Amino acid sequence: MPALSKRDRDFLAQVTDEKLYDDMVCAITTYRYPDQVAVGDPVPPLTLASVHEDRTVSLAAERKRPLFLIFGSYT
Amino acid sequence: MYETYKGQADIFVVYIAEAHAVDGWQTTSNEDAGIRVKQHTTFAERLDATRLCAQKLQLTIPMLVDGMDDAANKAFSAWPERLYIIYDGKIQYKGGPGPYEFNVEESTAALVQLLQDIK
Repeated sequence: MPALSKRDRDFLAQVTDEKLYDDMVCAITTYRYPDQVAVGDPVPPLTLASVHEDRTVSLAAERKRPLFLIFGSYT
Repeated sequence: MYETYKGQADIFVVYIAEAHAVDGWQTTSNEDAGIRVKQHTTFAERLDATRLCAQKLQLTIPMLVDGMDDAANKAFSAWPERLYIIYDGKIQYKGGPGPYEFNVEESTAALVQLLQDIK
């Protein structure tokens, strides 16, 4: 299980609502992972599905242009 | 940014686990805005959430979606949001973890510099 960072702990220290606190801790410890890569490291050999096209994209595939990735979600 | 550089770089949104699922860490601002998305339990649900995001935010940026093993999130420590630039098989830019260190200006500057370097 990922550990809470100091920033996480400082943020949580301001929360007084017990349920909200629990929800925050659950989300952070479930989905925030420790850093696995650094600048200069090889690209993880992942292939991801395209949402609007019937194809996949290999992140480690050779390409002529930089690949710019914006990780996130609607919420 | 996408419209400016889409001719020079391959730019994608990579959709990962929800930051503030309605059945998890929901926020007041999302509730007030009517944004209520459950955390995905299947790939189909994640795809639906991605399409909803594209529709509601009127995104034109091509979108990829992380598998339910959260492999991309784990590999890039991406949750809740993060920016990366890849080139020549290597990580060229690694943004700070969001939300506080999610820096579009910094990442754009890094892309501009890289584009100049590889000319």
